Amino acid sequence: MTGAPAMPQEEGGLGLNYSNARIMVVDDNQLNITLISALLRKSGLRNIETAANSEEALHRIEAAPPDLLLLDIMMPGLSGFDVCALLRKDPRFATLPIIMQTALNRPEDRAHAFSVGATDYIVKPLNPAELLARVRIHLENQALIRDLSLYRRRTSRELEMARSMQIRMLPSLGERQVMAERCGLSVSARFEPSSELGGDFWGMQPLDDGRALVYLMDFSGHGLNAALNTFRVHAMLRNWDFQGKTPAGALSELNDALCPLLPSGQFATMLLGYFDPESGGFSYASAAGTAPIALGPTLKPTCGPNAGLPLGIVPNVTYDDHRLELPPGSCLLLYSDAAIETEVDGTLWGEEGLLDFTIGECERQMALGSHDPEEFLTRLSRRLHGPRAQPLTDDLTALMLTRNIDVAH
Amino acid sequence: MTLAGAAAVSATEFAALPDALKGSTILVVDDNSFNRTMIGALLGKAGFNRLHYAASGIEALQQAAHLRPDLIILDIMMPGMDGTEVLRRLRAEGEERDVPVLVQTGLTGSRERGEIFENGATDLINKPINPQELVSRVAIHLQNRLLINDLRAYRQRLETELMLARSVFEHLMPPERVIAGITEASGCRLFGRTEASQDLGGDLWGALPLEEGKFALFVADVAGRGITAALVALRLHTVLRTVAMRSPPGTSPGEFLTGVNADFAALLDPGQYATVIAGIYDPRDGFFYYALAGANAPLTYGDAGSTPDVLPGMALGLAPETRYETHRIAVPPGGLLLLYSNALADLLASPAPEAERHENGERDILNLLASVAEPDGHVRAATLMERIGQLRTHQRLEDDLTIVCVERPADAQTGGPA
Repeated sequence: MTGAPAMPQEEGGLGLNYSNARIMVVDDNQLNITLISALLRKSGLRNIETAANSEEALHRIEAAPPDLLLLDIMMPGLSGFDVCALLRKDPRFATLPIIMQTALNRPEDRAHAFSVGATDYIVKPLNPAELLARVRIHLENQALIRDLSLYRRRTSRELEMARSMQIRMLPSLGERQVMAERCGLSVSARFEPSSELGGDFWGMQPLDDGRALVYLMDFSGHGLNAALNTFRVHAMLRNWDFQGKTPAGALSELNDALCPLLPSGQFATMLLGYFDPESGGFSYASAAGTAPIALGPTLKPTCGPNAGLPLGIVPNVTYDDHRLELPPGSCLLLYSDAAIETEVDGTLWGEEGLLDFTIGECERQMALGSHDPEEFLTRLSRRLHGPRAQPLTDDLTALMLTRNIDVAH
Repeated sequence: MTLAGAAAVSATEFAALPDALKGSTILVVDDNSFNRTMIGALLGKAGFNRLHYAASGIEALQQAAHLRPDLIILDIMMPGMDGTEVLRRLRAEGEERDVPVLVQTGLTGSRERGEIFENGATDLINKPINPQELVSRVAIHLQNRLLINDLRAYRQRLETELMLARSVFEHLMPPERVIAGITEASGCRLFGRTEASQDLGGDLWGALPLEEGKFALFVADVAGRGITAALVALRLHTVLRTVAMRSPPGTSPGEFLTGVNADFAALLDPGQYATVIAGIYDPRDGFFYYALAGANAPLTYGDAGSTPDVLPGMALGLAPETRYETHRIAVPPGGLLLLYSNALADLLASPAPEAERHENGERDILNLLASVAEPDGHVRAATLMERIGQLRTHQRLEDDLTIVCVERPADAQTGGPA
């Protein structure tokens, strides 16, 4: 491969064959056209179009964009400089390789060519080896970029569809309204995978006995592989029987079901709880989930205990039941690791950072006489991303559960 | 720097350089210190802030290995190791093989210039250097490199993720020990294989040992390809497993599929579905009892090879209330039972237009079976799989391919219950 940067083996199968590339040669001198075309053909490039002036060139380029343009500068009507400048204004031709081929050789001509967006510049009389080498290098680059871009487009489209699937697995607005009506519990949620797909999953359902079930899971890792597990567990939990169980009992059963499914090394952390509108208590169990934060106008900010073995490691694990009181108007914050393991202002935020932030935000809202969980969650996310909107390295899920004040029994 | 050089630098105005390029590492190689300084000053003025220098060929190679520059500006004529040799060595090395190298030369001869490209130069710039041209060419190459690196990084990240995901899917298929256990308990040899047309596929097959030598089989083909099909396949697998665990022994394939369909349909997004065949093979009577959800009916080959006249039924996942019936097909002693996804018919009939393929699909497959049969009329599953493998090497798969076959021993009892 002459005159070209060597390509690594991995791209050999990408179709870097560019002998089908369409080259357009523009020159008002027919002899030049013949010469250049012959040279290109001899080197194996068969798909050659020609134009004798700028208008014709622009016409043909519009109709069928070439892969590379060899452009004369001095032509009647629009010059090659003008043609180049025009083409660069059009986003379709922003990356078209444009090689000026011209007898003009003053420094200012070269500078001008590059300033209007030329990719390369070659002087007449043309050096055949040099012309071919330059053409080849540009075509190879374009072919590589095109193949890699195609891969990216196709894959990101698939991932977007998968992401929509993942979002649709989460409780809908309608389901949350039903929950608010039946159990007096309003749920606001923020779901932010760190890449196209995430390993977080949360769910809720009103139970027949009047209680509200809420859970938040975080599968180890992130990206596609963590996401696979969310699809499996969602399918599993669809018809799962949560009635009449304690949180610890439910977690234990889930753990037994997940163990055979998760490959070794993969696990999930989870917090699962039942809210009882009658008693106002939230009883829950944690499999290495994060500490739930309860606070409210009549409630001192409390971090609930959260110790427990993650799910999926060994079967037959016993979990502990805990309970938090939620007086009317108070809130419960559930969240994935990203909310405490992110660095904020240069230090690891931790539970303390999150707790301080939560207290601060709730006080701010109370002072304004508003209660806006959505705004809280938005501000939380912004705080974690920092002033320069840095992406997070882990998936973020945060739920704000509010025990509504006016609940008719 | 000479006064003329300083004048040239200060006289030149450069267009604004995109921020992303400013931090590019550029290595300037020239044995002449004025040239190094001048080039450095030009690039610096243009906005590049990571400039390094080498005064000889050897130093250039050392610096290149150490710095991993984004671009090298290389003088050709140098004493000791010249630019040509540097270029050759750069292109031969592993890490730095594709770094853009902009050669600067005073040579005008066509042969010499051609040779420089042949030795691996990315670009050639004439001496004395035209400041605008230098900066423009450097920017163009760096821009390309940035884009390519970015796209490559994306590809590498996704390929890793897809590879890991692929191994999760491979583990969903029955492991060797389960297949061996079934072979042992039933007396029949079981073969199964699935191949995705892309990194991830939407096909699945499964086998489950049951009581008294019986075993359950299924083949599923999720509509579509790629990641979303694989996710639906994963959902289906989870539902199949869950329903299997709660179904009492003696549940018929039709009842089983009806239950699976109800749960599966509730999970899916509009437009998603799968074609599935699920059944139970009973070695005691040699029948395969099955239910079809839009899939191809099973084929048998042997003494009385037949294609049953059974309607495919509604695909799985479309309508939750669909009820599936149980059918049965006799597997002759010494014969073969074959379950397969559509891609097999496509593989055999590829020149024919789409519309004809499915009609002739069964005929093509029976012909294939006949073509690999032994003199005694029996088809060995291993031979069949090998033949299909051969066909595969000549063709790209348009869809995921799954094949499951069961060899019934020749000395088995035939007929129904005593």
